[in-house]
Amino acid sequence: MIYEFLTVQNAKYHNVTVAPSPFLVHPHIMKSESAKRPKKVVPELIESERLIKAIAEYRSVDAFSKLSSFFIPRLKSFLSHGNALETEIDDIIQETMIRVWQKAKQFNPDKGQVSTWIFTIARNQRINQYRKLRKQDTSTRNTYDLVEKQMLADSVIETRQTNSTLYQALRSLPPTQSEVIRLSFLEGLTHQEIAERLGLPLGTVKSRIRLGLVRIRFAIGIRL
Amino acid sequence: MSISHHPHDALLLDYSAGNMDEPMSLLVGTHLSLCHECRTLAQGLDALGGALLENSYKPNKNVETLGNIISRRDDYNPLDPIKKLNQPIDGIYLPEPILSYCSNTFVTKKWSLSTPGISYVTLAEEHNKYKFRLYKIRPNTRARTHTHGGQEITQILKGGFTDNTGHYVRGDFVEMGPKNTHQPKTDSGEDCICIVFTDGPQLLTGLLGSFLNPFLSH
Repeated sequence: MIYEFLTVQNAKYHNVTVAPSPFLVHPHIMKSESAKRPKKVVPELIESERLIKAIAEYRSVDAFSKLSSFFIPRLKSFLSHGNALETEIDDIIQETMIRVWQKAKQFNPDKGQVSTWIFTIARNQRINQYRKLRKQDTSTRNTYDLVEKQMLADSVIETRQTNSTLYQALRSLPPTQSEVIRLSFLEGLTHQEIAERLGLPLGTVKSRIRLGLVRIRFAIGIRL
Repeated sequence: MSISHHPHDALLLDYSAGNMDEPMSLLVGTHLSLCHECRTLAQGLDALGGALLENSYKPNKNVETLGNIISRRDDYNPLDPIKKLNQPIDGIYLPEPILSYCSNTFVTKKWSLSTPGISYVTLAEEHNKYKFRLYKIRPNTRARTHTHGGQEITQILKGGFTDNTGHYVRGDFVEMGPKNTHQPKTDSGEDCICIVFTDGPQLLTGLLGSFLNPFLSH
């Protein structure tokens, strides 16, 4: 500490500018930061709410770019688990990010985190594209948007901490239970398709899902 | 009376992950509109989807360029705002999302009478695969005894009915498998309105049934 102090003093004396040494400035701060580290809070994630606000209120292209550079690689990786083609995935991502830009005002932090909101938009886009490819009727309005209207009227559950709590809950499940949940979200398989893929009876898959969701229910505070 | 029959967790997971065909997602979505408990779980599953998205970053993936997205953003037409429909359709108040779905369908379709007291509108169907119908059944009406070739899922929107497995009311989500034989009878006092998804033929039981089934199955 004293040694550092002297170095800076010397530099001042010789009229040389020296970048402040990290050892001089933050020994105690660094310690407390590394103590927080195990929680693995992604700084961009905390910032993403601020970015959405900037997009909604100021139509900030800069905020949109920052948000995109955080979420696009994640969307890409999230959507690549299934058997969709690369071009289809890019279309879904593009449609998703356009809606983020268009609907930023509708984001309500009380209802959940930015990642949840973007997940639901991407899911709806994936459904739209799937129906388009199968030439199913897409003229009717999206079911999810309409149910969401209802959800907005609900009393809010404590969602602030929920996403990381839920992820921890998923990781704490026995592999047989977390596997079925991952296959559902990441590969887009129905529970019937999961049974076929794993060569299991439908009843087994259903009970694995039910057991897995016990801990998920607990994590969001639903009492059984 | 409160809701006591809910979709199985596997269906809620399929719904939140977005792995459902439209008729089933309308059934489950309508149940969510009516059932606070399932809605809370569905919101939790959405958050789990968000958590999986957050954590699915792989550093070596190519980062997409933003140019095409930003260049398109201003000439994009925003979606039509969802119109608030409070009006009854044909005298029936329906919850979302089935309300909006029916308000499109009813322009072109009319009620058909299946047997005295039971009328329906087919909302969607795929030949030999599934039927998705809205039913309106007069009070105190007994359906024919039947069993199912596949599953029969009923979401009750108004009124209720009783069969050998129990009494079901508004909000209940009733799953019948291929082994269930039943003869539902609607409650007295009001019409029973429900949406029903069947993915196999309804099979009549009894001597008359075994004669008629070959003609009724599709």
